[in-house]
Amino acid sequence: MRVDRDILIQLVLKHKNAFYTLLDYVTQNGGSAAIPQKLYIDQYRKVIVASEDEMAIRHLDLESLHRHGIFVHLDHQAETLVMQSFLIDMLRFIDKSRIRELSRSDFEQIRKQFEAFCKKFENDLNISAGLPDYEEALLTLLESIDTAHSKVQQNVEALSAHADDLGRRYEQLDVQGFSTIDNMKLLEDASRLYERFIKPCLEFLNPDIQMKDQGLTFTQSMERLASRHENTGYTEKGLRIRYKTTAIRSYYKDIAQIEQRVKRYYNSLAAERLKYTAIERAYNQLQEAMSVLRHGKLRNTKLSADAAVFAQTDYLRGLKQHSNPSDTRINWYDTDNLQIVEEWLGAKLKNFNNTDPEVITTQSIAANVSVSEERRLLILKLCMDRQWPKQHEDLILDAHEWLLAQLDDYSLPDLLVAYQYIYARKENLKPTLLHNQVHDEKYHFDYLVLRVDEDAEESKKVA
Amino acid sequence: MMTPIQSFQVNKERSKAIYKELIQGRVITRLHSVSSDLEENELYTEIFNNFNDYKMQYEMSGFELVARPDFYYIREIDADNANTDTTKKIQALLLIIGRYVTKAGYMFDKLTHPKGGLSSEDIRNIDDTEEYREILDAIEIKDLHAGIKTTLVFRRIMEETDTGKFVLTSAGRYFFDNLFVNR
Repeated sequence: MRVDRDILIQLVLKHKNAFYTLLDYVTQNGGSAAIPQKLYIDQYRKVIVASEDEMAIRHLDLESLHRHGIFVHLDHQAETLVMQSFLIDMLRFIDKSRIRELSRSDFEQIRKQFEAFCKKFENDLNISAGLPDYEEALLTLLESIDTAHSKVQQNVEALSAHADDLGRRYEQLDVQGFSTIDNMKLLEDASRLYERFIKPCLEFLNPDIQMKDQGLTFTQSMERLASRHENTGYTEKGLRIRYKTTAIRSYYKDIAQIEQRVKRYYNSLAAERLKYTAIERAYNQLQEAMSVLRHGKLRNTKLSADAAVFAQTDYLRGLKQHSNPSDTRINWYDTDNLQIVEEWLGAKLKNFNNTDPEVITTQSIAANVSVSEERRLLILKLCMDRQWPKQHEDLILDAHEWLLAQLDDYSLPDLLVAYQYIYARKENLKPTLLHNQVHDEKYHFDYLVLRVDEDAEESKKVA
Repeated sequence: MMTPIQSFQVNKERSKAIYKELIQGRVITRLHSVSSDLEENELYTEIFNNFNDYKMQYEMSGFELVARPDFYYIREIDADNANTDTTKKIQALLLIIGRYVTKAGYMFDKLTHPKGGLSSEDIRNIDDTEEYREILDAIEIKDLHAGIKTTLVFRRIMEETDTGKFVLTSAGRYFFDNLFVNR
């Protein structure tokens, strides 16, 4: 069943995503017209059937599109199809990012086309209104100018869209390392965009550029075509050609701006590339130094500081820790003399004190020295009744001195009971690593000093 | 008659702090991070303003005060001044780190930008890569994170940001600037 073409085009536009896939295939395959039928059948299923649009399902199948001329050719043997060129142009018109950029050869084709026009109008044609050959040639010329204008305009839109995409990806380069953008790939894309598409367009539109092989540039061809008409009395036609030329060349400033943007990204990325190359070269030298270690299967061998890779730079040469405890002490003189002896003596004497050392003849109090229960209760009562100091640097010594004052028959085992009482309190006690000793006539008791400072603890709580 | 040294501008407290830094094999950089902001390092400024005095002071102690763009360090005058084990480790570590960053497709700024830096994940990735591990073993660094801290951070070649990542100081950047210039 046939349907009106405008309805069909509306359906195509409604489900354009299916056709974008075909367009992308054409672009990726160098403009290849033959598209695998399977590609469209897949899209028909995934996009059109999935949409449940009855009208689209009925009219956008392969055979229907061929019948209505959307697909120009179906090759059932090769299983390919060919899209109408207007459909390709329309899809590209809708999505700027899919517009095919004009390459150097495209511009060369346009340039040659207008060069041929120029030669034809100058050499082969009689410029005279009404002559069929002239009128036909003029019509073709004007249509070609309009086509060239349209191509250049779309090209500028495409390049602008690509430059925007480049800029977006460039901004995503994240120093924090969260970006998935590969800056090397970005550089390749920027380079390709600039070299293959922006530069040829600039050269095409640049009025100052000259052809090396005596050929005519686009601008020169148009200039001569306009002059040819003006010189033969057809000023209006000449002016019309000039206006159209100016309209095309006006895109030069747009392209120049795109060029500046892309060049900024390119230069920044190229600088990154140079850094990468420099680091890679130095790293390869490091690997060469490593390869010597691997040769002959020498394992557990260390990289030498003398390796060539380190000798190439004087970076931090000589840096090391200079304060080494094992370094030789100051060597005053290389001969013995009195000053050395005096210095030695002075250093030794500093550590001597003038008091006679106490000679201890007591025995260490054993942990299980027995104290009678009655005596123990007495000591504990004394301890409980006592107002213990809130601050003392050595609480055990304090207890020893206090018990000595309290009890006429005090002996060191009594201190052990008091020690147990003190330790059981566990409040505000601060054990230290200092050793001390107390003794009576019979025993001596070595202990680790316990400090107490209730006021400091209270201050902390208040704070 | 010897002209007495005019050192009345030298700040004694800063002089002591400078000595303590340099004698430990650290560099003194022009800028340093203070609460994630870069600020002028007063020790660097002290040396800069009294460079001749400091140079002479260290010469009298047998050291050369080496001035580089944006940092100072000392080395023994009489020594051979070949590359030491310390410089070997520093250079090898910086090369590995620089290579990892650029090879992974990051901008080099990752190592210099205050919001960038080498993360724990990056360090793990380097440690887990065989070719880097082989070099680290050859320069006797068993644990890369510890190696970065003791070899690079301690010496002020890199510094740790507030987020626990490591960025190059001006001394660290100088290493790469030389590489890029000599490409």
